[in-house]
Amino acid sequence: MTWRVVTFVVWGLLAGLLVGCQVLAVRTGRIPTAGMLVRVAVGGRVGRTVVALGWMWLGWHAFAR
Amino acid sequence: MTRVARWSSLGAAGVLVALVVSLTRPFTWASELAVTIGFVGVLGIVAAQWWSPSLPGVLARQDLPPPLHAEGARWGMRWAPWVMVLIATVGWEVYCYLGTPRSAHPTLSVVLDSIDATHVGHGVTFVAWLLLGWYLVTR
Repeated sequence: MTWRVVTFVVWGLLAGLLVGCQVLAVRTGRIPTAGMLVRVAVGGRVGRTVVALGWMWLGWHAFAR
Repeated sequence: MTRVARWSSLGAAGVLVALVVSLTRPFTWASELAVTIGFVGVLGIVAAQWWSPSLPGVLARQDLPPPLHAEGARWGMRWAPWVMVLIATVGWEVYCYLGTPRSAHPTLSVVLDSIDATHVGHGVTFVAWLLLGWYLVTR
């Protein structure tokens, strides 16, 4: 197995863990959902600005550059 | 306009945007224009939320209960799974970014590029990015 394959497998595991957290949150209510995480992040003016800039950078990086 | 008609119109608009953007490629004026229109649209929603007291529900900030309402578990314990997975993701991204050769250590950008490489993938991920922007500014 090459390092490239290992890297993709780890990315897949991390994606699975994120989905797992959301499923756990929705099914049991023991941990916050991703939506709650977003609401905490955008709750203040600074957080809202940082998240907006992050979203803009993501779009520019992925689609324009 | 009924609820079904409104969501159908938005769905049709999303498909149209995906079709148009799927024809653009990075490093072209067309892709820069598409992304800039996305910025203006989402920032326009924020401006409208500031200046207009009565916006349609789809554009207004949602009035949701505080996010920490569950009983029992302590604050830190409740957020720990998310924090650990996000730290692991950032750590792996940094490891891949610094790793050589780059072809053996694909970063998230490379993963995204592989999805984004086709016309369909490009259009769908662009609409997903627009929806993420709308979601963020209405929370």
